[in-house]
Amino acid sequence: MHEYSLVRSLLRQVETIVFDEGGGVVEEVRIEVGAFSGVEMTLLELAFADESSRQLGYRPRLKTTAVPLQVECERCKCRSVIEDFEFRCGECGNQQVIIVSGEDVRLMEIEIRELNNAS
Amino acid sequence: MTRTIPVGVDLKQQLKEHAAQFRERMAAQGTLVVNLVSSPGAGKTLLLERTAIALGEQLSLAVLVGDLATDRDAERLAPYVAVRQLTTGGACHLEIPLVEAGFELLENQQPDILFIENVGNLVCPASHDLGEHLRVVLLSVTEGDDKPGKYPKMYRTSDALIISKIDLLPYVPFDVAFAEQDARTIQPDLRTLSVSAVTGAGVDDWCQLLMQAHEQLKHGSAASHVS
Repeated sequence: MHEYSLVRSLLRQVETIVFDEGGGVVEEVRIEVGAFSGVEMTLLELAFADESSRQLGYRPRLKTTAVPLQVECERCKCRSVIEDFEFRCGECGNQQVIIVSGEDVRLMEIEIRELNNAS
Repeated sequence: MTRTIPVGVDLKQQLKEHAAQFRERMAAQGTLVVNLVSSPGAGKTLLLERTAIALGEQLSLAVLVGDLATDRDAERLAPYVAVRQLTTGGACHLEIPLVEAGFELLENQQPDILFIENVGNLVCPASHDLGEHLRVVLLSVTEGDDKPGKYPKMYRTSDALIISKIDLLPYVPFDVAFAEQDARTIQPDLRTLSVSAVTGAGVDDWCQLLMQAHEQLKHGSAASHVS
């Protein structure tokens, strides 16, 4: 259940960024979740609902975009999507591949309502 | 009025940078950092006891041992090696700030090898770089030979696989070759060893691997673990 600690870190980063941008009410947090990030999407959403209430005092929307696990072949340089966790090039079958995306959880955008315009 | 703030950062960026700094600092002082991971009860602590007995006169060793509760593992290891218990208080994995804080409390600040015995868990610890040079996953034969494919991230991020408790092979249906092959479909460069910490079988091979990795580190060609 490291989704909770990840969400706490996400919210801390959101708060810092929004503060640095002059403050505001967070309406929506947009993140990308890699297929090989070790994060379970449903648990992440549950953790976000719990922790945002606790940490911010309200619940912004969370928009998640799934990012597939993509590798690049060290031999032919082709890129393939790995769906079954058998790490090999989809073109030539070579097992020597490096992961190019799908390992991380990334905070992409924060939508805020600016305080000076809030009624 | 609403507006969108573009960000585009990896949520673990700070932790990854912290881990990379710790890895570099340990390499600079000649300390090889080995992160031992497994399910609970795979034999990490007994292997460390054996390792400390076998290597303790040639190399200086230290251990940081992580658990949710109790200092039982630290008590077991204390007669053999400098050790500090890291108690996570319920958290399912270690993170680099806890590891570094524990390291600062060790009596031996310049060991040749620093072992981190991670919390027994094949899921969450896979996603946390602890600044190690080697990640070693233990798979005990009583767990079943089908486990690598079920925990792909742990095996993909590991440098070596130790099949442990091989003294029990006559009593359990475990195909060593199948388990190794399953693991190599995920991580083709995985080094594999078979060990019994009870009988001592394979412990010499394990110690050899550690001594080679430590020599490579001292000569600046150590594997730099990348999660």
